[in-house]
Amino acid sequence: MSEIKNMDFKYLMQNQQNINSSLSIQEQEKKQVIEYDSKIVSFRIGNQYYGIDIMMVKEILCEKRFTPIPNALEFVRGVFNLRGEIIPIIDLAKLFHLNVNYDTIPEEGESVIILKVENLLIGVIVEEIMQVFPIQKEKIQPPSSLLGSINEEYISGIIDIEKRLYVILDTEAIFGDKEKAKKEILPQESDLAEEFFTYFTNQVEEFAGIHIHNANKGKFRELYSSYVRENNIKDMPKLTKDDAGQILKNFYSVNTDSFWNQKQADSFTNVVTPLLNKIDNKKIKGMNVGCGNGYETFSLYFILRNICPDVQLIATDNNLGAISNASGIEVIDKEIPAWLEINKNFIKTGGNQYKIKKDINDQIYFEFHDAKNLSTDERKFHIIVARDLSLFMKESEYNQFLKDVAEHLVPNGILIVGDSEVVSSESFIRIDEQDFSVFIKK
Amino acid sequence: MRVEYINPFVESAMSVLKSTVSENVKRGTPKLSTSINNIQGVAIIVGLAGQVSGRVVLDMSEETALNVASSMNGERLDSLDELVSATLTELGNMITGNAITKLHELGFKFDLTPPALFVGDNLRLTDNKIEALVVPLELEEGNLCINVAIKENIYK
Repeated sequence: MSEIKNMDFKYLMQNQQNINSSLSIQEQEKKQVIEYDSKIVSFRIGNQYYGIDIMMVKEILCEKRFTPIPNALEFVRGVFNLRGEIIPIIDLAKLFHLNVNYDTIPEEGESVIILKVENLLIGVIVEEIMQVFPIQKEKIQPPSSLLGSINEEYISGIIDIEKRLYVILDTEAIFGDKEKAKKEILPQESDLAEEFFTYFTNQVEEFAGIHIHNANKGKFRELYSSYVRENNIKDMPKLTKDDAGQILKNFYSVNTDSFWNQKQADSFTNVVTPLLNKIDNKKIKGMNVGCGNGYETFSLYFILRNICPDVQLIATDNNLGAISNASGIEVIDKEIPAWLEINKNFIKTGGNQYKIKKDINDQIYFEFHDAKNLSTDERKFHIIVARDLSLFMKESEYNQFLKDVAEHLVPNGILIVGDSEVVSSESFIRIDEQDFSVFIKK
Repeated sequence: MRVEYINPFVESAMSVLKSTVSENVKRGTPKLSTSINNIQGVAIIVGLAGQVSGRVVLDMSEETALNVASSMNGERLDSLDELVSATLTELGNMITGNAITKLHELGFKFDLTPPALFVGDNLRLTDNKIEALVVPLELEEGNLCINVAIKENIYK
């Protein structure tokens, strides 16, 4: 009984309000001839009424068949061909999370309002289209934050027309919001740019035979923007094999194919010495994975030997030709920086050709080994240098490799990756260093 | 596996096969593999010890094995009998022994275990803690694979 009473009371209250408001309109109407300055198209979703500025509406139609888009967001019903123009169709009720069930779709089709927002056509599905009202803009009351289901920022206000409240939607705020539209509703410029970038990386991968993924994508993004800028490319980038080679060359860490310079040697010594001394100050066990033609290995070896005389270094690569050349590397005198002490560590083999002295060369174990099989190794290391290896492994393989590296490092062991590589493993902490990407095993 | 070890094994396999089996031996691209290798039907295994531990596996199909043994003996052999087994284990011994002699000259001290011959269908070789060098070799008698896995005993 009490419930019925309550409802009666509520109803009476509402009725009273309605009477009051209509009275006030009537009073106003008596005072002056109303000048309408705008029109709204009104429609209904569930038992709520809404309006959209008529200037935003291109047309209204009934349609049944929308072509669904796979993987689209929940509120995107599909696309629709409007006289040759493909427009996305959005379910307004779903977009605003209104609890409405369209169990029965009317035979003539669903009501669609085609909106024009910033040169973009978008169709929105509503439950029922009502009529067009002339309104006075000043009569629109600002939205209250208590309105609930529809986010306040998408509402320009509320208007009372013939005793009914209409929520005026701000279509520009909803669909004109560039960030939102780009991300959620339509494939726009940024998606396109992303597509171009993917196209670009695919070509680099194909030509150069490498893998681009999260560990190295950031740098390729930079390289892509500079490639686009330099070649003034506006659409789909088309690379040649040479382009891809050049781009890859710019990815590689500094001095991949030559001995490290004085500055690198100094900063390496400065950052690594205290870290290594903390682990073991009598012995250094190191591994240089992906040593290529050996420049990196010998640079590393000479630095480590200056830190501590007892160095055991293993250098590996899965390129048999490269690793065979690395052991017994032969260079010309100009390639040897002063800090490598040409007279002490090299012997002349004729002309300006120099070779690392055999007793030094024999200190390093060059091994034909695939970094993907690191788990088969039982040795532990204080330092592992693996620059730019992410290029030669798929993302899953690289992540496994990082796990294996963590496994093969002693506690607080050091990992050095390529200058442009990102290590997202939780096992490592990055050390602040300019010339090298240095990580410590937790 | 250390680069220094690769050539002695590959060269030894090539030269032994050339001198005892047939002149035309083609070498495929060396590959690295881990864990499971399917054995084609006949495997000759020679263990390595000393400053390293490891093993050499010569792997071929039964048909190739018979062809190789026939060529080595200079007569047609049609079943995997005593003579064929002895011939094949000797082949394994020669290849490995030859390689180890070369390695000795380079200053590496290896020892061998006596060769063992395994015959059977669906044989699998599993050793998950070692990376193996696999070199395919092509002969007129058929294809065979030399599979070398070596681990350093020092440097732990």
